[in-house]
Amino acid sequence: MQVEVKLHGVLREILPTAAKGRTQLQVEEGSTVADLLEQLAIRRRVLVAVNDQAETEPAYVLQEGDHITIFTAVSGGAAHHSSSRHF
Amino acid sequence: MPYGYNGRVLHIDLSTEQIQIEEPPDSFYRKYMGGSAMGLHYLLKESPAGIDALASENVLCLFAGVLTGTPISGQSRLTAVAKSPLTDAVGDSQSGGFFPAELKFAGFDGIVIKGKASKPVYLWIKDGQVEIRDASHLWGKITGDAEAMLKEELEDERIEVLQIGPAGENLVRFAALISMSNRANGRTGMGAVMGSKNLKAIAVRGASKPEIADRKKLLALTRAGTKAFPDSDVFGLGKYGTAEVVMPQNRAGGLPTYNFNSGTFAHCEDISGETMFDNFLLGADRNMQNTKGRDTCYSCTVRCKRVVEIQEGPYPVDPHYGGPEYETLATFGSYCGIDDLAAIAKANEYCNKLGMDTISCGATIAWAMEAFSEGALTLQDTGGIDLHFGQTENMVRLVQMIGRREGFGDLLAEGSARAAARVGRGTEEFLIVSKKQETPAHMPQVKPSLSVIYATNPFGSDHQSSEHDPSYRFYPERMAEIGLTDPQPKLAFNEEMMRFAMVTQHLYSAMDSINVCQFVYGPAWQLYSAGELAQAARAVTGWDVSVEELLELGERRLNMMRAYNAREGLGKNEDQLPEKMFKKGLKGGRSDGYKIDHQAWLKLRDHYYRLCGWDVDSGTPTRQKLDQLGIGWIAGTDALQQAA
Repeated sequence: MQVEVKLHGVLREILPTAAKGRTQLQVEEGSTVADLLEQLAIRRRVLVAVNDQAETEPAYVLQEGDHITIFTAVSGGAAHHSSSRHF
Repeated sequence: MPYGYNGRVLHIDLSTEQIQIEEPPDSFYRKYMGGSAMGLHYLLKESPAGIDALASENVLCLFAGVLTGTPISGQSRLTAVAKSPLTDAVGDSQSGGFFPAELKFAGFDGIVIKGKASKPVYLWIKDGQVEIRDASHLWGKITGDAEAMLKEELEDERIEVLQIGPAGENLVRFAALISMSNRANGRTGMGAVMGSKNLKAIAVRGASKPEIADRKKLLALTRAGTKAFPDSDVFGLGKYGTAEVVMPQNRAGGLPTYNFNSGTFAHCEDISGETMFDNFLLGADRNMQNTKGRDTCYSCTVRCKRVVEIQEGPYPVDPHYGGPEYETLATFGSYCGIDDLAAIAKANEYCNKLGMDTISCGATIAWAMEAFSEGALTLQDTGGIDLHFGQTENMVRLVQMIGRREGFGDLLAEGSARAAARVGRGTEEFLIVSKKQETPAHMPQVKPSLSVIYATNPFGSDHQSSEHDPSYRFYPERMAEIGLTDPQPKLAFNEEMMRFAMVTQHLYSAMDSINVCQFVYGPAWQLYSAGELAQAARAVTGWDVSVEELLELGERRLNMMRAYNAREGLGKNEDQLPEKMFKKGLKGGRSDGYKIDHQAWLKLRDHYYRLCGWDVDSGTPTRQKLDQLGIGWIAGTDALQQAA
């Protein structure tokens, strides 16, 4: 299934510059937020927010068409950190 | 003389042109370490109680720290301390750059400035020699021009200059001290204090580096930080600057919008760090932002400062004046309902040219915009300037008018609290201030412990005086290092969060005294842990410095400030939060309806006082607390006797 991913800050460098952090990704049915981070090889401490949520747990199971926003951990802006993880 | 220091403090009386050099004992250095605490020592001892902050009796103290000028990252910091003309409380402000390290190389740990020169002067400090020189030809010049003239006059391109711009000369109450034409000791109006003394600038140059006790250990720590940087949380700060936080702040509903009426700005992406990186940083047209569009402080691996260049359009920006920080993007941007990053960068350029704090300047304009939008200010008041939210061109125009005290800008140059008091007509209800200082761009509605820190902080609302709430949950291992082992749920506002606020406040307070950058050593923005900060201090001084000693240093500095305020007649009555934060829920976004529970806040403010060891009725440190911190001498002066 396909989900839409928006990467912020230095996470944008995972994608080609022209993408400016936006991409559509194919993920397996039943994939979680944690699986998505593995797939993107994100090793940083991050904050993930799916659709309209302020933060989303790593165990959340992704749905077709989900909009997933991923931020790096930043102090002043890290208003909702609990779903984040540190590899 | 202790390792790491010059062992020399410069005293200047501008009224008498007397220059003295003091060599304090080692015990003095160990107790205060540097920066803010060291400056407070002199402010408390040498300035009389109850003075006008712009009177010649005010004492302006400028101090570097023990690590300043060594090779480790995040150490080139300067703290300015004096009575604040904005808050009438203790004033305190930090900045980085190269001036702090060069001051150490020039032979001094700090400068204590008293009196008032009879005409504009500047100080020239080179290799331990000091001169007071005529600055009549520099008066009225913008910072970049004055700096260039000094370099030519002193025939040395490598001097470092700390100066005021026209705003400081004009006694704008939130005028800043500026170095490199783009670094600001921005908060609490230290530039107005310097201007009131007819002191335009301080130029420094030197070749002596204080001796380090264990150079090998310090270099090992330095290399470890550089190696850890690419994988650290502070890496993104280096690349995108503090502007990196615009988007996550907005996502959390914590980006101040329309003068704190909302925490969500529909156009946040237009003023984000990513947009600045892609379009406005120097070198963006050649994909060379990382080499051209970033700047640094002395010997720092992070390189978080921005360099913006705009050549075309209505808002051309000269890269000499740097680029906007997060606070600047938010206060001139979302706070004012403005989504034009070029205009914000232009406002930032004017603040650096004229020498003003971008936070107070932007937030004061936002106050005027809300008052205007609500009909409490009219075109007659503003001299015909339309100040509805989002009036981009007029915002930029007003910044210049404030710095030069022209027209309506003359009123706003007093700061929003004094302006509201003068205008009346209900404009007070739009104020976002604590102790008359405009509130930074972090919202207590989504970080509740900040509500008590903003109110009680001795120098007015400040976002860099304690760790922000989510860090307790997010960095449990780092918080445990300073004894915080009970993380609380999201938005918790309780006694444990007050303990979190106080303990992290002590660490931040220590960082402002040992004088290091909070982005490098802070509990959350961390390249080095608190334990590693203690190790660095041990390596430089040879003293057995511990984390506990650092926390006590921070507590000592905080209590010195509260004692100073008590002397000036400020206490619990001044520890207030803007009424709007209690009465009006935020509108829209993920923080829709959020406000602070007033009754809970009152109880927790008292709890915070108790944790601090302060009298709950007055908010003043007890004699027992001052004795415990080794500063009982303050109670022996008139500081607390007047308060009692």
